[in-house]
Amino acid sequence: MNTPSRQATLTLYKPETLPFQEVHVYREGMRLIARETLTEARPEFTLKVAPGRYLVTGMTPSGSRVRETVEVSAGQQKELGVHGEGRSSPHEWLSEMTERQLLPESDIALSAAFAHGIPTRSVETLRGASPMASFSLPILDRLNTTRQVAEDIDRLVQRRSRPSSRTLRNSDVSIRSYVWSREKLRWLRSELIDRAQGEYSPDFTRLVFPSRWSLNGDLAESIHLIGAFQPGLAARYLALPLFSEGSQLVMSLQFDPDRIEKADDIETQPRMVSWRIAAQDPEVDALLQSLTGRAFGDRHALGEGALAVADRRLRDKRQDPVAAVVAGFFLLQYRELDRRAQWVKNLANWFPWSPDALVLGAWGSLLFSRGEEADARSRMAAVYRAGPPQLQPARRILRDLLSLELEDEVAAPRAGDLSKLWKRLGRESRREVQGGPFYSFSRRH
Amino acid sequence: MSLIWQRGGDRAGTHALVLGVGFFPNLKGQGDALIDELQFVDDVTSPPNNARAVVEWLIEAADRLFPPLASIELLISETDGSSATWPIDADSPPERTDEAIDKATGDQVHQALVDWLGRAEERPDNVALFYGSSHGMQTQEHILLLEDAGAEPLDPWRNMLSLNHLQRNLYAKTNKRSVLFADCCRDLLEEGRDTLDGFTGRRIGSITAAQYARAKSDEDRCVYLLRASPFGASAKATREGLGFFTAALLRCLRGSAGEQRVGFGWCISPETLRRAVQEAGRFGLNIADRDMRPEDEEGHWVGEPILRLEAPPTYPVRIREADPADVGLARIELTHPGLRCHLVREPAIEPRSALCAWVEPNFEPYHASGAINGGRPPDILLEQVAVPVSSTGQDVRLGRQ
Repeated sequence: MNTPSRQATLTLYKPETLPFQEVHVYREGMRLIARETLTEARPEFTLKVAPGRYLVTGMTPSGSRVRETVEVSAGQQKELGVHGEGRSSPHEWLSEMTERQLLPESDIALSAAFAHGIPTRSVETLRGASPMASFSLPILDRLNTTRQVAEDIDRLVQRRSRPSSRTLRNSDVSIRSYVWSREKLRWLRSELIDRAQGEYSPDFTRLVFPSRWSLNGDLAESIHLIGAFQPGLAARYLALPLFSEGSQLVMSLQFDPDRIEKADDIETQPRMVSWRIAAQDPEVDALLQSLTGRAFGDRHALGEGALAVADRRLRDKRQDPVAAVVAGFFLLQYRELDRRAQWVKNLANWFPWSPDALVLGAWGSLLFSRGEEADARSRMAAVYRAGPPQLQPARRILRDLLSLELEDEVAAPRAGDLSKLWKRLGRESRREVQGGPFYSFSRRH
Repeated sequence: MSLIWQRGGDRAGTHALVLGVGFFPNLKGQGDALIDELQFVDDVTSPPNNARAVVEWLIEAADRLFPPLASIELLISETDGSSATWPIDADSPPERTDEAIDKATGDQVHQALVDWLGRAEERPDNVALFYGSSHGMQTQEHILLLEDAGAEPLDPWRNMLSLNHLQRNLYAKTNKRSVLFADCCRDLLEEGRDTLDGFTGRRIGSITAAQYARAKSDEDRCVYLLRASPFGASAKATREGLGFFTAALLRCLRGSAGEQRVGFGWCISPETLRRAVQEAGRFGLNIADRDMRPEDEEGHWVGEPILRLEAPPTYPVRIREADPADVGLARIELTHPGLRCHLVREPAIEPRSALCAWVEPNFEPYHASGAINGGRPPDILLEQVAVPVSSTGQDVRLGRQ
């Protein structure tokens, strides 16, 4: 006769929207009993546990955690998806409050009321037929009332023209786009911003930029920059990667609570734009966010599945060169780039307009074969014309390599593009804003 | 001498070099050849304190380090120029006969670097641990000033140390793992100066770009660098005389950070340290966010963690009002019925006095709530928020209900 098992079975699976997720399982007393990385190749895992309560936490590629408590009884087979509450989209990671699972019930209700009263509107609709090289967005925050939201939308609909400085308010943000000119070696205004589709919601504004392949030649084979201008604040700029499936820029306004010393400061202190770039493709976005979050610092916790995702993206570089660059730096971060010599070489050869691809190529030349230092130097020199590397890991590597080259008296030609690039990196570093995987800087005008 | 602590034995060990530089006698206006920023440099109190505090922690955690502590080189330049001391104890090397320790001058630091690396390179599984606190400045490289910086007119950069050089060249050493902590400013140099061409500084060898690329791709080789501040920012100090960064770092290393790893129990590894130090400083010590922005390089770490914790950690939680108009007005509470935790922050005039606490992880979330009494009832209630604490700190802002 079969006796019922005294053990229970707990099966955990990752949300479909995440390409990989690290899962921890604790029993009472916060004792860790399992740590696994779920991937697309292995989206679930099962463990046998004693009856009782367990805490399951899941970490997204960007490093944020969700948690679920589960109770199992003897012989029970329980399944659990590790997505926490209220997570309908991978881009919910973009909200700091949601990321920390601190969104209170009342806040959800507030947002729901807002959404009901003020449906999300497309910026394209709001702008009407009037093309603009830049436009101004009021970015709302949770303190605004429904009436204010309605007024802002009306204002946008009625304006249908380029905003003038007279009508700008403290909460308005003007957005412009720039493209790197390899001839003039500087950023030039571009019309890319006119190609963005916007979403205007109570808590944030989202701009979705089109696929690189939908643009004409010059814009398609270039690097891009977004500038944000607010009255009374230094202009801020952020490298804008164009992925094949599109990129999105999510902006919200935030007080810096450290700068609020007295009640009047609320009126006078400007609210700064907080922004974050994501790839429309969740798989690419996971690689991208992990470059910053570095949640999977321990390579052995990463699992082969996540590396396979990066491998595939690097291999398919023709489909999405920017995603391939991100994948390359992901593999480099986890010391897995050395098995992809030819792919890295091809990436640098086929997409010489990408300074990041060139940096990766230079690193590859040094890494994969002896005697290719000259090849590495020529790739680094080519970065000077291609423009400022867009990813922070690329900038760090380039600085290291240039520093080593320039202190090596035998190899170093102190004149030429290498030297000019070194000086430009120095100038850029004076204005750089750290944080996030992308090159960002600020400048007073 | 600078070797203050040593334990022998034929096993892997952690070899530490600790520098605290608070005195800069040659940067008082006498060096015309120096750049403007180095013409007048104030002496500072926190670096010697930081160095001593780090050494105290190292000794306290000696047997919990992975691998166990094997030696400490300590060099301190006291703010008033006097000689620093460290007591002699059972673990002092026999040749140490008095309590005086070496000052952090260029030559003394150079010798300490040679000795430190000599010991660390005896085995590939040794860990080289560096801690440096001093004035710092940032060009393309992050530079740490030693006591006699500026003393040599023909080579004004000689008595300085480039942290980037140190990090890069540690990749070429026999020991495969190194950890560097730096509590010093990264203020940029004067307008127009982009690089420090001709920087010499104190060096620990040389590595070519190709050697660097290959060493950095070795799966089991890692050099982790954690700094107090990002590019262009200053590193500040607490009123008690410790750097913000060092205070938060030590708080983490003493059990306010860490996670469980199968086979190691509660422990700390570098890949989670930057975030933990930032949270400890911001949420636990209530340091302004803009003053607590540690930055690390090389998140890759393999094998053993660097420290085993004695007990489960406590994590920092900060609760405050969300609306700037409410800041300081609410009575804020953090509770956990199961743990009999009930913490209160009464309305505060000081606007940044959030409720800051260190709490133990638990299955059930903590609960944060608040109420504003405008002088007469009814109270204005703030949101009630569940605060889950399992492996990281939490920052909670309570809006009005």
